[in-house]
Amino acid sequence: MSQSPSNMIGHSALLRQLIQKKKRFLIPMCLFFLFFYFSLPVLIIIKPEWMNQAVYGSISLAWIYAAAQCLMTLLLSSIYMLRARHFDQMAAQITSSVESEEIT
Amino acid sequence: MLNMWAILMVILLVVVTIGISMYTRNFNSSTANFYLAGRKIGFMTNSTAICGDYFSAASFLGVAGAVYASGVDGMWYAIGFGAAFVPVVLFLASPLRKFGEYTIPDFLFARFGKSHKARVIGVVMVQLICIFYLAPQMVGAGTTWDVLVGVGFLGMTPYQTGVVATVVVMMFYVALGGMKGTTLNQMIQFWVLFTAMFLVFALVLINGVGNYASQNQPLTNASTVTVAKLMEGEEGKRVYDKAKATMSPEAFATEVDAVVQKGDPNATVHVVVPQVNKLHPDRTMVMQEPGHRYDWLNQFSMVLALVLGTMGLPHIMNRYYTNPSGKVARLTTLWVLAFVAFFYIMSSVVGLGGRRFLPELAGADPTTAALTVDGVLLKSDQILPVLGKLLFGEFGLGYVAAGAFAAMFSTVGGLLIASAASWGHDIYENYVNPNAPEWKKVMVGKIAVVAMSLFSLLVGLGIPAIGLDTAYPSLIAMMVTWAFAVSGGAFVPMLLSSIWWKKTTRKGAIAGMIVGGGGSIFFILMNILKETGVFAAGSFGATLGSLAFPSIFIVPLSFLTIYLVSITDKNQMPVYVNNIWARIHGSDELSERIRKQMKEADQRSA
Repeated sequence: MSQSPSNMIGHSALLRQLIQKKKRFLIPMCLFFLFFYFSLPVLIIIKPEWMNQAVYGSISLAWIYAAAQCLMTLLLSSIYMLRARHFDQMAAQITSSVESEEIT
Repeated sequence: MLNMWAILMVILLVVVTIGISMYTRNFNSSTANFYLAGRKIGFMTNSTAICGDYFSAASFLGVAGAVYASGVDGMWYAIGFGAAFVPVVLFLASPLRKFGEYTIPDFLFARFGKSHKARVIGVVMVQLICIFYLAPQMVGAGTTWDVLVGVGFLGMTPYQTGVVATVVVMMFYVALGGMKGTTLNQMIQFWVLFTAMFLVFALVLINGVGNYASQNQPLTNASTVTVAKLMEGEEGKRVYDKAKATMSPEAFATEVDAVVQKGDPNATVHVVVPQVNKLHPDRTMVMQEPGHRYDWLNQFSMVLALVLGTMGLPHIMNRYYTNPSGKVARLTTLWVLAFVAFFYIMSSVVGLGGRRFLPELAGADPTTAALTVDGVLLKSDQILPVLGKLLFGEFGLGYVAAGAFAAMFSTVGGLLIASAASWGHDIYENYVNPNAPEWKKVMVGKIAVVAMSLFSLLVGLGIPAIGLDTAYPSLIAMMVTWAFAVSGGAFVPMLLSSIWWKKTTRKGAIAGMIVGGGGSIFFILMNILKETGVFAAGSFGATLGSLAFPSIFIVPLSFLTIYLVSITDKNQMPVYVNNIWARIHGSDELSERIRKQMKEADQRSA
């Protein structure tokens, strides 16, 4: 089966660059997320006395760490939203470069 | 107990629900409208609808109940359900929307070079996940009706009435309203449940949460045991002795001693006893410290299932196709996260407040007193309605009842649409009658809604019949986590690999789904057989069934299967993989253009 002209878009250097950039951004984000999320059950399992220490008033570290998970999800998603604008701009560039190729 | 406010408010909710479905019924002229609401749902509507999908009875009643019963351990559901949206927003929301298909099976078909096999296996997985998720909603409907309305009609028990009433309402409104009606309904239902939670949360805050958690006293919970079990063991170490040391002398005399003295070993008594720390048996179980619910392996596995499962839930992921653009899809998720975080923090505060108000106020209210032993609830899932009543009277209870049914309706509605889309769109439109006129396709979708509703009715009525409700103490939360485990196993490794690893092949994806989905279901069934006593303790079957949530082994195994099968399956990437890649990772316009070009090329070659 012959490839249609548009199948070349996938080979476009710009698209490859975009995916690379996305991955470079997403992998550290994801690693941080996994580390922060799973450190809670791990710490609870291996260091219960730390997690039961009162930190603020009589509230223990476990409660604070648990509530911090909610903040972490909001924070990471907000960072992604801001970064995604840049990715969208790059994607729009690819669209326009494809359009100019089609015209020429 | 017959509560007029509860009945009135639930009826009002049903009338509004059906009214909206009648209003939107003319909108469902085509399948894109019936399944996806014409892809024109704004981010605010969609985010509240996703929350409506997401906050089921388990979230609405269960999280507050879990925090009330177990303290920090109960927070796991709150944390897991919230954090689960991070991988959704990072890896799936935008690519799935851009790819521009209807359902996950459609995605499979298009991603893997028009693979019919991949699509059909996808449909099977979608249906299995829907059934696993519908089952706890049915149990929730039955038990909520039992507790909050308390009457049975037409010779049925209150539980059966709750299941039947929910299924009938759902069947009617989803089949009539389609995705548009369901979405509008979910939005309203979301606000009903959200404000109900807020009402109780605000009342708890105004009156003061109390300091039960910070006292670091042994965590106590109520349970029901037979007299024989109560007196088992040597004196000083019996449940009887533990209860005597824990309960107030008056409560112990009336609840325990009075029954024991009658001498019937099969009579049951309600006791309050200190709880055991499953994570660290040598440490005293307190509310501040986790360890009440699971040992380390199950705890870790549950946390993993919760965070991954959302990515594979068909009724949540289908919602991303209803967004008009990738940008709106991301904005939707951000709002969902804000709502989810606030909702679960509210639930946790309500759970904590329960530890203060129940001992203080339960004695003054005879109906609440009947649900408690020495100021502790026998069924922790009732904490939200009970607090609604204690702090805001009958109206408070009625509002919470409406909120609980709103939570169930919205989740069941989303599941039914997802299931119908899969039968009607993926199977009927592609394999049975591809040239059917639009009205016929929509009709098949509606029939699928009715069929799936009737099936879930049978499941709902069957669960108590096989004794599942007595085998697991918090069945609803358990069953929801199973649904997360199945979706996490079946779809998450497949979706992540096929969106982010170009070399994923059709065979790899199929093998990954079978290992992940099939493996999860197998181990869950083994656990059910063990807990219901089919497998004797110590037998091989019981060993297989010892893990309540199999995700910790199954998810990595599914990833490994996809990787190994894909690399040994060289040259099997679809011909148009580069086009597909541009559709997934390009801009909205580019994805749409390539999608159309590919479709035109298909038509030409046909």
